[in-house]
Amino acid sequence: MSGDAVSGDARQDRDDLVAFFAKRFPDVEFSDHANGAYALDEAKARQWREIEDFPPYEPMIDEGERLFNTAFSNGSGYAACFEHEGIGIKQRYPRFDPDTRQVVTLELAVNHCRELNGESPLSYTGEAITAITAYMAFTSRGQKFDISVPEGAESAFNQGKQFYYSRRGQLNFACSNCHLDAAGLRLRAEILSATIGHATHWPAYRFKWQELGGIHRRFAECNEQVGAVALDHQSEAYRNLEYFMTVMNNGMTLNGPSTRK
Amino acid sequence: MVLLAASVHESGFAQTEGRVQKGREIAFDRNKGNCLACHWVKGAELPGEVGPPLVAMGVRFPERAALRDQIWDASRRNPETLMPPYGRHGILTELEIDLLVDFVHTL
Amino acid sequence: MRMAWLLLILACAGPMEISGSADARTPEAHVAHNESVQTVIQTARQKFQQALKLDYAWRVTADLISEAEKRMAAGDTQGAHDAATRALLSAEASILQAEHESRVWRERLPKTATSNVKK
Repeated sequence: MSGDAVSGDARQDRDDLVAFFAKRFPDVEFSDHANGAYALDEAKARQWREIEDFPPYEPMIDEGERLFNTAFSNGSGYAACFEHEGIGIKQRYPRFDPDTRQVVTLELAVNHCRELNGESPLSYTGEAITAITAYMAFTSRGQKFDISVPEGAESAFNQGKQFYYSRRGQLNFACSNCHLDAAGLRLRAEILSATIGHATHWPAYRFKWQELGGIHRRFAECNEQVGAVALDHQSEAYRNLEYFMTVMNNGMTLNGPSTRK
Repeated sequence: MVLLAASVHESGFAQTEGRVQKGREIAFDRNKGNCLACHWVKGAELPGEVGPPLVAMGVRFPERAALRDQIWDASRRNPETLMPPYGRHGILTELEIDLLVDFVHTL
Repeated sequence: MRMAWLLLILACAGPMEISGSADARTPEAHVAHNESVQTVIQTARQKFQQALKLDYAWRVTADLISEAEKRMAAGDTQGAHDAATRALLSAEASILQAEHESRVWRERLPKTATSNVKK
C-alpha cells in the first residue's frame, strides 16, 4: 500500500473494518475475505474451487482479449490509453481524477478511451464492456489493491461511505446491516459475506445471472432486493460507492473474474 | 342450549384456525412477511439466523399488542434493529399484520 | 364582491362534501371522486419524482401508481383510490427515510477497539 497517498481518514476506515472482522472471524485470514462468503463456509468453498478449475467465464476472457486488441478505425487501440498498455492495472481502479473531480472506474476509462479515438461508447449494461474489463482484470490477477484517496477526493469517498451505511428501500436495509452487522450469519441458506473483499473479484459470473456482470449490476440487484429503485450503472453514486468499497479492500489480492452464487 | 354453545365455540375455533393459517401463509411468503429469511420457525426448511428463533411467543409477548407493535415497526424499541418496519413502510397491510400476529402468537 | 366570495365558498365546499358522502354513485359524485383520486395520483407522482432526485425512491411507489392508473381506467374508482393512497404514503415514507438516514448513518460505522478508546 502506498500509505501517504491514502488520506488519514480513509486509511482509518479501512483499518477499523479490518480490525472489526479480525475480531468477528478470528480464524479467517484477512486475505481470505477476498473469497467472500466462501471464506466463511468450507463446504461451499470446496465446490467453488472445483468450479474455478473449469470456470464458465473463460470464453468471455478470450472474447475480451480479442476486443481489447481490435484496432479502432483511426488505427489506435485501448493499449495506447492506459499505463503499461492496460495490462495488470485494474488494482488501481477506480481512481480519482483531480481534473474532473470524478471517480473513474475501469468501465468509464474504457469508454473515455473510445471517445478520445472517435468511437462510440459501449453500453454499460452490454456484453462487450464486461468482456473487456474481464480480460483486464484477468491480466491483473494476483496484484494487490492500491487505491489512493488524494486531496480533493474526500467528498467522493465520503459519499460512497455514506451510501454504504445508509438504509434504503421499503425493507430498510443498509449494505452494512447485512455485510457488517449480520456478516457470517445465514440468510436462509446463504452465509452473508463480510464488507472487506467485496470489490476484489469483478466482473463476476453469478450463477443466478448465468453470465458475467460488473459490480454495478450487483449494486442494482442489491438495491432492488431491498425494495429501492436501482440507480444507473456508472452513475456518480455507484462510482463513489465502488470507490469506497475498493479502498476498503486495499492490500487484498485481486482475484477477478470469479464465480459467485 | 348446550348444543348451541358447542356449535358457537366450534365456529369460533374454525375462524381462528383460518386466520392462523392465513397468517402462516403470509409469514412463509417470500414477497410478504418472508420471516424465514431471518427467523427459525417450526416446520421451516432452511430458515435464516439473523433474527431470534420464533419460539414461546405467547410467553415472550403476553400482550398481543406488544407483538403487533414489534412487527409494525421494530425500530421503535431498537433503532438499529435489522427487522423491516412492516407497518410503517406499508410492506404488509394492517389486515395482513393482524393475521400474521395471530399466527406468530401461536408459536 | 360578495357574490364572488359566495361562489368561491360553494366551489370549495361542493366537491369536498360530495367526496365525503357515503354514497358516491350519483354521476356528479362519481366525477368529483375521480377528480380527487386524480389529485392523489398526481401528488404521489410528484413525491415519487422528489424521492428519485434524492436517489431514494422505492419500487413499490411506481408499482402502486401504475396500479392506480390501471384501476382508474377500468372504472374501479375505489381500488384506484386505495392504490393511489398507498403510493403516496410510500413516497412520503421514502423521503422521510432519506432525511432520517442523512442524520444517523454514522451510527453504523464499526465499533472497534480504536474507536472505542476515545472518550
